[in-house]
Amino acid sequence: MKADSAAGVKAVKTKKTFTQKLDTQGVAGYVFILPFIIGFLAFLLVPMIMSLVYSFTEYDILREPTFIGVANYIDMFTNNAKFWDVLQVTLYYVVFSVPLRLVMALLVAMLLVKSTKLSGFYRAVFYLPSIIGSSVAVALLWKRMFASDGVVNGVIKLFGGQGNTAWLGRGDTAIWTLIILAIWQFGSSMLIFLSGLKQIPVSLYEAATVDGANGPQKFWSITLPMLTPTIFFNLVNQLINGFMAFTQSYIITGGAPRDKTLFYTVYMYKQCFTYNKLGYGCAMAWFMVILVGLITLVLFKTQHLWVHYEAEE
Amino acid sequence: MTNKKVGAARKRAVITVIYHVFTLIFALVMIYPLIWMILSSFKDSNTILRTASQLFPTKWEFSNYTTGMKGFGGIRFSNFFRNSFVISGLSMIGATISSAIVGYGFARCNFKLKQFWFACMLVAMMLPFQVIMIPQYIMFKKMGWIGTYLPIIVPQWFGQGFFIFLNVQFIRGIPYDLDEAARIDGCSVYGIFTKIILPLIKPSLVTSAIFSFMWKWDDFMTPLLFLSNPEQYPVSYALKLFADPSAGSDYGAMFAMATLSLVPIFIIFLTMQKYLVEGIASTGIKG
Amino acid sequence: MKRKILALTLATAMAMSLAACGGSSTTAATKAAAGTTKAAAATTAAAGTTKAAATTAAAGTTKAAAAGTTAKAGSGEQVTLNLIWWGNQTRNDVTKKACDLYMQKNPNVKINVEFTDWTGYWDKLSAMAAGGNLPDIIQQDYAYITQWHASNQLADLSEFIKSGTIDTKKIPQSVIDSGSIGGKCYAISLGSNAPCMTYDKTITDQAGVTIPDQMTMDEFDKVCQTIFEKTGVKTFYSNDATILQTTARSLGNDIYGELKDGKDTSTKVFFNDCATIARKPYAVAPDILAEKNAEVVETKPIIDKTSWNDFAFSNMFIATSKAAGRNLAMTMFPAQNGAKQQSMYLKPSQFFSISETSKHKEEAAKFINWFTNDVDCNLILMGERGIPVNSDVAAAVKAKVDDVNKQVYDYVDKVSKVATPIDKPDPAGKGEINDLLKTTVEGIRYGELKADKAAADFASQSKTILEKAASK
Repeated sequence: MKADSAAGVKAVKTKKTFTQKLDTQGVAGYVFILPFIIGFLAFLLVPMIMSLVYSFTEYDILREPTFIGVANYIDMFTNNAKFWDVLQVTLYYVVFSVPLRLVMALLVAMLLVKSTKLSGFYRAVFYLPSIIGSSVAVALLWKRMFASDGVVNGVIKLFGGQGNTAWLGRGDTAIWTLIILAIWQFGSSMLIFLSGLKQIPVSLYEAATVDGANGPQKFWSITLPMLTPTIFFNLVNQLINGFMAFTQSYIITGGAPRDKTLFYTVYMYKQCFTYNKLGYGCAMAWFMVILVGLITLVLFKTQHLWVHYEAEE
Repeated sequence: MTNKKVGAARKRAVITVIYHVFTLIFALVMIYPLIWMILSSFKDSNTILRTASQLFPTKWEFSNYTTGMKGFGGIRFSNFFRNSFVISGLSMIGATISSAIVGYGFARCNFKLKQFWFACMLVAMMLPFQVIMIPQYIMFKKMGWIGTYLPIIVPQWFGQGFFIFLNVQFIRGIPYDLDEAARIDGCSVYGIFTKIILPLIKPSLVTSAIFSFMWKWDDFMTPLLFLSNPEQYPVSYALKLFADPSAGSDYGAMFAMATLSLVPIFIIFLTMQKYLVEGIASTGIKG
Repeated sequence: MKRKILALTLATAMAMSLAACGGSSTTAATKAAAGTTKAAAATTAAAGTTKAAATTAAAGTTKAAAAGTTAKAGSGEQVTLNLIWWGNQTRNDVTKKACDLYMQKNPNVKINVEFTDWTGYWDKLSAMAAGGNLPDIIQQDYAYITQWHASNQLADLSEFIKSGTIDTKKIPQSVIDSGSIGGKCYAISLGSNAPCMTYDKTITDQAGVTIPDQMTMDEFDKVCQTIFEKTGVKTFYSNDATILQTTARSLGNDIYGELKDGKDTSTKVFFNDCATIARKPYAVAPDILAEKNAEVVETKPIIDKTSWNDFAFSNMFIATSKAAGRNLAMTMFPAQNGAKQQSMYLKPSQFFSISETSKHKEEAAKFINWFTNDVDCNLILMGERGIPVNSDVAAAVKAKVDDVNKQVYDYVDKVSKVATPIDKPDPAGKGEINDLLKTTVEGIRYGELKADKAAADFASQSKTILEKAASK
């Protein structure tokens, strides 16, 4: 653009300035994220603020809320053993299901990155479990599979084991049925890894072959570094999803046995709608937001240590 | 020399066979639960749970499909499928387009309060729906949107955190060289978006499209809350109506309709994942 | 500029989507309108407000001449009622058919139906209450009615009963009382129900035991022992609020009254029962029980013969029999040894209530009256929600049901002869107490908790819960 002419008709000058203004990052940025801002302000901000306000009230939904200050939070932290129990259960779940799921997703993505004739079919098949994720069918099936006379025990017997454990009935194993369920549904993470793998320029691999690199070397020096933005994305998302896990606990185990599989959000939901303490539930929700927010913040602040963005060399 | 070539070719053939056998077995194990559900839909409804360990039905029944298609209260299940397509389709288009636009803004532009808005986006992803659903309901009620598809579809057109974030990550992986080249050629910030970035993020666009469709297809919370006329129910919600813990559930019909509901998803996935592959073999970066 | 084109496309797409949304709702509206006009065309001249207890089939099929809506006060204006219930496919279908029949007979009334599944029902209803748009007629449950009444969401139906709009001549007073709080009626029962212990007659025959109408706990113990020795089938003992309540009632106590004061008298007895049974060789192992869900029909231990018995309510009998695929029988809950009073009672399976915010309470009451007392209507419903509360209607339906269903009628009949009045509706906080109860009994089953101490803890915790819940 010829920005040299200081002279010029007044009218032309103003026109230029406006379009030029639009073209600056400062303005364009806002133009592009405008849809998000509008949506956020219109649909999310008010409900979010309301839920925060509710956390300082006693509210049974059917009647007007009454303000009680920080009583909910105090009760939560000091007076409620169950609160810490469900937090612990959820943390245990997240610590195991997230990394395992990601590793599984990456391995399968690498398995399927080649475009063979059947790859489309394979990818669909490996993705399918994620689709029927929250359905009653899966819940029923999972309970049947891990029952003391179910398929899992049947397979164990085949391999010579005793095969009569009640996986869902024992406090120490029940949570693992849910962790395995989470790992089984690695489909969406796998798809994203596939996208990420496809974005790595083939030229890099070709250059490496020319330089004499072998398979594992290519993986560690090209694939993994180039994949770090995707890994970061999946990590943050799976972490958030893990903490917010609800349906599996709610419809498969219902928290049994003895609340050993009661997830944080399920307990929160019960507070809101079964015990009619929406205020308390909102307090729990906002605590979760702060907790997960802090963890995410740490991840974001430390990403420069390991995540490699091509664009920002 | 020819022997070596033959040997190498044979080695490759063996590897291919092993690869396919392994993947196939693995795939079968993965979808065993799904196969169970599909085959159970052909069993007599009352026997499904009792005969859960036998995979194949002793007698193939198709009555579950006819019962299921009858739907509820005179509304046929095909109605529910149509509703699901409308909701998921429109959501998919809206979410994909808007999230690409917003993603570009966050990834490539520097503007005041950028970190703040990005944080807002993440926080919105972290708040469980259960706590904002009552305030949202009240809000939508005041707007007069309850009983329509608006509360379900419209927010999708204003960007979804997950897809925005996805696009951001992808765009950050594209080197600035291309941007600068385009700038020199006279492109504006907007032009760079449409001419350079958009074509390059096809994989994340396709992923956004697939996911937004699927997730909306599976979503039953928002229809439960915001719809009132059963004729508007989508499949995700209608499926739950086959179950009543106290009065007995018709799992046969539920599984039958759930199986049917997998078909469009499977097809859409199969057709769209091609674009994931064709997307790019190279990003046009020379060495 | 490219951006403009993008914006334009966005705008058009949005407009199209809004039109599509509008389109689908208008098609729904036009369909509904077409439905009512068809019904109007084929309508009879029967007065919209039936006050008689039983409208016989004859009245339903008379094709009277034009006249249509005669000058009955108020019945000329078009009224729209919103009705919501939870249910499965059967209930949804028959209820919708019943509503269609009502609309046929009352062309000035349009009923918009909405149905959900059980798990989402209360979320939806709460949201509607918060948003101020509760439907006119809502299906209610005994466990929730206290709360909804306390927050003034339910209309007082006493005036309609007094005026005869809701005819209660053939409905036992105890049924009306079960939907009343503080002497005023807020809900009309849709069907009667009684707690029952379901059992597998084939197994008991095999073991050579006869199950009486009601056993004492000692007799129960002997029976379980014999069955286990002769057939190897184990026994299930429940852990929910129902059996705690019947234990209390057997002792002549009011469980929620006790818990409010932090007393653990009845709880101790119940927990000790649980502990004793759990240690017996005939008890189902606790981890097996945990992997099944006794509250859901299809996963009850009796279905796959894990146990020979089950504790439930009579309206689950048909579904349980179907799921088990064999003939089952019913008996009353075992009574405590030396029981002070009969623990069995009749319970409303569900209610219909009218929301306080309804603008058409009179019309809604008329509908509820018809739903409860009309034979044609109930021949469509076929007692799906429980035994009809109107004795004439119950007789008419019973004549048409199958054998399994007849068993339910006979059982409820038996119970009604000895039943004592049902406890007051559950107080607010019941949900939390129920959860606490279940996990405590689980702990007792696993041997991790001692019965007496658990009872004391449970009582004091329940006291706190009830206090907090009542203070609102």
